[in-house]
Amino acid sequence: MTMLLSVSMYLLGEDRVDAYTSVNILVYFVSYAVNRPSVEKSQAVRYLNVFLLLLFALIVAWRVYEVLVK
Amino acid sequence: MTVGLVLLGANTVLVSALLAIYGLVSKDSGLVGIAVSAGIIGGVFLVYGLSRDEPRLGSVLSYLSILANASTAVLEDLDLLDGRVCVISKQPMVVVYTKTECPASANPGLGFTSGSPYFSIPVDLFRDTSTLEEVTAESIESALRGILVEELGLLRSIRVEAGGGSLYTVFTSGLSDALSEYSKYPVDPFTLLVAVATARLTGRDVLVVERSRVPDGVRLVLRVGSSA
Repeated sequence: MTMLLSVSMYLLGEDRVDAYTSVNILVYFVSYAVNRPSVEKSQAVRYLNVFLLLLFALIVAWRVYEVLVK
Repeated sequence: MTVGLVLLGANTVLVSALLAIYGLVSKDSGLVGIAVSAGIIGGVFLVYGLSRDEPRLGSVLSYLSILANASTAVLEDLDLLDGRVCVISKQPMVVVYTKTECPASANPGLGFTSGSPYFSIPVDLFRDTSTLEEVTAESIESALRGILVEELGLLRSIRVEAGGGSLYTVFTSGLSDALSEYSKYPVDPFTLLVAVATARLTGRDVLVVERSRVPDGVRLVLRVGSSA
């Protein structure tokens, strides 16, 4: 699913790395919310979720900042 | 750990790194984007592969269910369902169900103390856990968090409060659903895990004074000491 999305974006001519990253992070969190893996309370999985959420927030913040300074 | 998933994750990360390098060299941002996508997938596989896997957890829960049912039947026959639960730290470590004072030592299986029957289960858990130098609520909390939250991932958080004398109250939250189901039964694996871990950490006998269910977890009152 994620690779299909990435290839589709590539074929559409998308060249922003952060767009690929944020879409993949979104796909991950949607899959996580739907499936609720049994390892959800594992410390490593929690760190991964926090890391991906921070990365996503940073990408969004950067894009909003870019719009505001223009 | 799931070896297959770890290998898949590691290989995906490796391929994505090579793809990213190629994308950077050929100045193709789209290719770097695809490489980052693959890298995220690989990273997720890697982390999930290194975590405890579902089939193993399922087996453990199945084993716990058999153990709890068998032990409950024995306790019912011995009229010990509302008995005390204590952990005797003397080797071999045992969990004892009794209606009288906890014996100073007990053989695994059935026995008598003060003319009353007891049922003891040998435990070999946390054998490598070192004993705390100083036994305080903070040190117990920190060590229990390390074992139950960070290592085993059984719950989200744990808090220990000193209750005067040798009493300690353990508050847990975010207990996994499968384990919280057992908290209403006489043989509760989670209570036993906490009591055994505390006995290992303190090197002393532990008596479960009180056990109650709270929203999202379990509250335990433990007496730690040789006179438990």
